[in-house]
Amino acid sequence: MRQFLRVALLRHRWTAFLAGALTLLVAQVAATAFPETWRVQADVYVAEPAIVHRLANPFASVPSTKDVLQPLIELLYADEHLTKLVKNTALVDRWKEGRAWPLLLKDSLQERFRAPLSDRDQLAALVAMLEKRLEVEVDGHHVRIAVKWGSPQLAVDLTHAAVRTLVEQRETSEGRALDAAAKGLDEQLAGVRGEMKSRLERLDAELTRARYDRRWAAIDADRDQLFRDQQRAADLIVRAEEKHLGAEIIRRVTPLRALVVKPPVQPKEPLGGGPLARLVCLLLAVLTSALGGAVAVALFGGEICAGFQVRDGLGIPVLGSARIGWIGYRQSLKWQALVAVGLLATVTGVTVGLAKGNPALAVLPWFVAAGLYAVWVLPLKYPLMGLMLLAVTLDDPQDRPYFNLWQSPLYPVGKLFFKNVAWFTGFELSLLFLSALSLLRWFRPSLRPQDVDPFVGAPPKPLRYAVGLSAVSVGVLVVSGVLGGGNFRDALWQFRVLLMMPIAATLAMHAFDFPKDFKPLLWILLIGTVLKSLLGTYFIYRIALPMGELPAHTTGHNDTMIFVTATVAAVVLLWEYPKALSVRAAAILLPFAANAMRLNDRRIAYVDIAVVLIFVYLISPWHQVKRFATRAFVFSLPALLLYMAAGWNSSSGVFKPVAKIRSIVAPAESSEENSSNVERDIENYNLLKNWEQHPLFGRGFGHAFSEFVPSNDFAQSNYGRVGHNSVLWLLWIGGIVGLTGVWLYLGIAAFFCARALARSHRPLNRAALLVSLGILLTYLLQAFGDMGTQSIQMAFFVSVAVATIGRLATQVGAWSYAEAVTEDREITDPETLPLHHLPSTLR
Amino acid sequence: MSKLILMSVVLALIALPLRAASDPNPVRGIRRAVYAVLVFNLTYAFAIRFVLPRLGL
Repeated sequence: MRQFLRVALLRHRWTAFLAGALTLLVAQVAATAFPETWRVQADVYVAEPAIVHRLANPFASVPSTKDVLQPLIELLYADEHLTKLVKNTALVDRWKEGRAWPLLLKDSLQERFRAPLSDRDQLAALVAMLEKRLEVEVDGHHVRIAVKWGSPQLAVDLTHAAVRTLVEQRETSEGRALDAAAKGLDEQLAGVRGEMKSRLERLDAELTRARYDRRWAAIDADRDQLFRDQQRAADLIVRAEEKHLGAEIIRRVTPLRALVVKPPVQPKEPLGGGPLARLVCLLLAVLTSALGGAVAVALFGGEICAGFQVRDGLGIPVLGSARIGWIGYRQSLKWQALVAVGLLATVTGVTVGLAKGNPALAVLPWFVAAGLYAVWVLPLKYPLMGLMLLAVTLDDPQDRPYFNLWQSPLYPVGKLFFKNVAWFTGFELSLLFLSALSLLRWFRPSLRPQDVDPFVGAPPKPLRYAVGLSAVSVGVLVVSGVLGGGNFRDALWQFRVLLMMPIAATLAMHAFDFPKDFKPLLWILLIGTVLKSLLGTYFIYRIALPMGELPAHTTGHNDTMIFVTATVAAVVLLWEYPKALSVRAAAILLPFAANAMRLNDRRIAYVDIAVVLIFVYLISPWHQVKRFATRAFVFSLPALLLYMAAGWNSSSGVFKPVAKIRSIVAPAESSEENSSNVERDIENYNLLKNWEQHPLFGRGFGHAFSEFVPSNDFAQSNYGRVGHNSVLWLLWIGGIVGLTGVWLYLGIAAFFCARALARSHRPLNRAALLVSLGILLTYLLQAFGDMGTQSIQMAFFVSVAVATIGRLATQVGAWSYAEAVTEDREITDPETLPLHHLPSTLR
Repeated sequence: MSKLILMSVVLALIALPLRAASDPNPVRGIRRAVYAVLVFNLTYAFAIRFVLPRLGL
């Protein structure tokens, strides 16, 4: 590679020079066209002291910080407030301050040839710009307000004004509400007193008249009413005084409730750092453009610059090489390559101008281009493995990683991949992009690079059709749901992961080549498990405990699949191949997986492992390890039962496993687990009652289920849009027909898994099949337990499992003997079908 | 018991095709697997509609 780079640079030194120069020139123009941006930030500490609330408003519940902050943030972004900010800082009069010259040029041209921009239009434009450039971030009790603007003074003024609004709002909002309440009570009191006064006058008059007429006065009704009014007046006095007092308390303690910790100050440097950082950034961009330009032209010009090209391209060994003094061109340069280089150099220049000292952004265009080129020329399995690596390592922000108390270094990339970008997440968009690429290669084979993804050994047809049926079923349910009055945005949120599964499964079936790809996949699993285990440990002992927090979980719900699969993989390797290699693998994987599961703290992980191992046991023939495991279990059964009995009601650390089992099968009445189970039962009941209305074909996507029995955590199910029990949720959405259509391919995959197992002798293949079966089971159990259908990571695991089963089934002739490419010819002969490999229970 | 009934659809989706896979004829085997899943799912629907309420869910 070094030789290639050296020769490419030597041969195309002029191209390199021009590409670098073009980047430099464009960067300079862009730097003047896009002026500096100054970012000013202020920090306000907002507290909601419970004691103040108890004193000020004793009968109202104490609002949480979140309840208090949410309306404040909405207020800061409200149009009226932004307009007020623009007017208060006289931004319309300072329209030209910090405005880029291309925009000023546009203004003057508009003024010359059309009408000048009116104040109203300027105000609207400034409000829209401020909405984009105002950043409000809540971190615990801290509200950070930042404004990015072209002028440092304006940025300070705007931030200051926004902070003032926040503090004023804290001062006045609740105090004003209490004042208003007190005023209302005062008015009521005045009314009651007025009534009492007139009633007294009436009583006096009646008494005088009665004395004069020498009769008994008829005053009983008025006297009783007077007593009642008196009591009411006393009550109103107390309540009004409470409100007055409360308002006063709120006013006095405002400095405690909104404290400006860091006031807005003018920054020393604009965004992106000082001149040195910019110079480094510019140099980096120029060098990248020069190198990239030379390499691109050499590569696309079809030139041979290094020995590896001869070996890769022609398949012949290079015995030696000689350096000659001539560096002329053997082939004419392709003009497309030159255009591409010019374009990339220009884009890099613009990016440098915009990046303002960010070196990563400066080289981004070339890296993106190189990445796209690599994806195009490399087999599909590499980008898929890359995605799998991301799935097992990155933090999914929607999965509350580390209990939202800490962000690991992988969090920002995770945010990019797992948060919505354009209807879909970055991860889903990557899958869709790879699908489009595969379709392009499929329909235009001439465009496909040589020998990339030749589609041989396709999985059995029934499996492919079942995967297609799943996609079609999801599509039909979307259409029926939306036509039936459902909301498409809700539907999108509900169906997109279910739709991604058949897409990813098709890609994986097309891309992976087993058994060659088992090892890298196992490595990816190992990396994910070890990394999450180490990060979780670091978080608990270095972040959470020193903060005085003991979070319920560290890693997210989606990570359970990684740890369960890693545990099952380690156990199954030992089960199928009890040799030193498997022992080593288990010795590395199991401790990390066990620690990760302990930190993940999800009971369902242990249920998954138990159920998978039971299935593995039942489906396996009576080999040496199975016999050994059976004997060991039978012999240890009495001791196990005694241990269980002794620890059933114990809270000692020795009996922790028993306590875990008890929390699953029979949680104690007052335990958190039992309360959670009750909530789930209520939700299941509601789902079933909703399903009863459309039992066969379901409601379709885009709807929310109704509450027949109120639940305490209805908000957790996004108000009926998603169910914790994904099986019942899918049953409600698709009816029994839809549920079968969407998930039938999992059953078909299990069918081929069993057939492939019966014909497979290689331990690694058998282990891979058993792990794949374990993934299918884990996915379904997670779906039953806690929203398994909403996790793209789990969907990706299932897709790879289906691909593994499909490809191996074809290899060993599980469907068609003619297609078998197998490890062992004799077992693919239909006459010698190895049913002895199946246990008697399955024969 | 009601939990087991609710969960049975998940286990049956895997267990029934595993059992059907032992058929020497793959085409017949897959037919058996699909029919078994279909019949089970219909039975499941019947059970959760009529049996489950009697068990207290």
